[in-house]
Amino acid sequence: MNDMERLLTALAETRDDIDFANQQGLVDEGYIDSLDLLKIIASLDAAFDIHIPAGEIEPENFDSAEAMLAMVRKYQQR
Amino acid sequence: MSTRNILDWLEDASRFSPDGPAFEQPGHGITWSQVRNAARRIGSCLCTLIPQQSPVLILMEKSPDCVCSMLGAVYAGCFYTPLDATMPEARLQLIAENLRPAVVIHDEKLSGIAQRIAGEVQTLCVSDIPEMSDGLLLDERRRNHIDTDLLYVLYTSGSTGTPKGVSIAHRSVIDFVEWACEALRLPESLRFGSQAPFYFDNSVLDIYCAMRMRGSLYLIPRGDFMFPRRLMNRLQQAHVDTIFWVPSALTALARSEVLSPGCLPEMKRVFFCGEVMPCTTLNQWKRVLPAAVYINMYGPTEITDVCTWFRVERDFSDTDSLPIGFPCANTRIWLIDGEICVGGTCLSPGYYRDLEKTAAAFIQNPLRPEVPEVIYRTGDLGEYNERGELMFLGRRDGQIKRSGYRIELGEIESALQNAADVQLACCYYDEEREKIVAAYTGSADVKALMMSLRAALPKYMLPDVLLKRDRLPRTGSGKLDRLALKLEAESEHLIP
Repeated sequence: MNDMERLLTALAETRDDIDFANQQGLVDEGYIDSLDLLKIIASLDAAFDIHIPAGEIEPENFDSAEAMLAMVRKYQQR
Repeated sequence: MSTRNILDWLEDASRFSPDGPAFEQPGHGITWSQVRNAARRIGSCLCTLIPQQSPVLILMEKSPDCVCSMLGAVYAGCFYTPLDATMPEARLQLIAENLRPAVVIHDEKLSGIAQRIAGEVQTLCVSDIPEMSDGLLLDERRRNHIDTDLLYVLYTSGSTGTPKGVSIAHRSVIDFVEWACEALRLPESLRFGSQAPFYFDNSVLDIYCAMRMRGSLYLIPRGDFMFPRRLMNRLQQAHVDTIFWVPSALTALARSEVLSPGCLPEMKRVFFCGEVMPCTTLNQWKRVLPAAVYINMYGPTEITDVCTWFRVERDFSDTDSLPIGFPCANTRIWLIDGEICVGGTCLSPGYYRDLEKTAAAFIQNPLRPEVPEVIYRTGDLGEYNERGELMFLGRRDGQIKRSGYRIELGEIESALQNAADVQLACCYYDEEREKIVAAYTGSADVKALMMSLRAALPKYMLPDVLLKRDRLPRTGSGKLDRLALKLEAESEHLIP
């Protein structure tokens, strides 16, 4: 499983009604809310064994699967 | 002359501070005179459509226009129920069925949903309302108004699966807001940063205290609460000096590390209500903003937002419980078998079109049988500490609080039971893990069931864990046993 597949699997566990692979504007267009965000962060932390500090949660990092993957890679390198 | 209608405050604000900011959101703000004009315009239109004291359902995004529509309903001598599209349509439908609105006001964005839930009822798009107001019509409605007329009906979770409409009269809000402005020492021209949705009664303090003090209310976009840094920038740029938030919003910010010394230099008042405030959160805020005033408030929707309050004037350790304090003016608290019961001007006349539920919760005061006196049983347990301050101890029944939202576990169980291929359902709240755990029997598939729950329940009510079981535990009397279910789930390590 590559990183994108792993990411999409983790995301599907949080909201199975959103097409994370293709949907853009997840935050800006209101597809996900604060409860979803908490679940997404917990599930990315677990899937990639990283820690996303709460103070660094920025909207642009969660707006699409690609953006989330870029953020995950940043934390993997730390 | 004393205040009899909340519109008296709007008219004062518009007279004495016509160009002062009233309601604002990013990119759009209106002044007090604009609020008055818009509300009179909407009210005039409503006068030609519906009789006085009719219910007006307002289906709009939280915005300055939404407040104008609420106040427009009041100008027409009617009462309002604000709702938005964060609720699933099935729930909006249940609310509309109970309320039977005379008209549904909506914005362009929610036009489709408005048409569907309105059914035969007329709908009115706020941008289509004519640019004129009729002073004579409005004056006539105003003359016929008395202060026990309803101002709003707000819906809360109901244990049998149907939301309950809590009706509140002008008099209760007038009394509450006059008390709040004085007791909380609110200055003129203060600037609130609003967190509460308008369908949640914390917004009553936000809106009407801002109006009464001729201050302003900045409507913080909902999405900002997901992103601490963005929220912090927003509070600073908008010059917010007063917040009245649910503790979970304050906790989220405190945990985020963006709350640090030197931030929010203009913040002077931090008020909270809606759930238990952890002293760890309070202490984090006090360390960063030592000069701010901190006030803990308590109260269910049925008593007009707040019935007790506690000004934090001494230190608490992280493990202490914060008192909910003392009754507000014209409010009396009794502890009857440990249950907090409330009487006074703040009391709702009852649940809208539901005499049965009203009779169960609003009862004759058993401690004063000599005269008819109604008190409200909150279902909350309390006790007095050695200083005589009221302490909140928890719930008597299956009601829980999550992110400040009041949730009846029975409503979730009922939604589960109504789903296809479910026989029995039972749920409990795991406070430690902050998770709602639901279990059911029947052939329903977990994923499909979750989909059907999403169509029936607001997001904050959705179970975090859904367990398919062969059987559910029962108590000796044959009722489903939430506690035993919790023990089973824990011993079998079913909760991630």
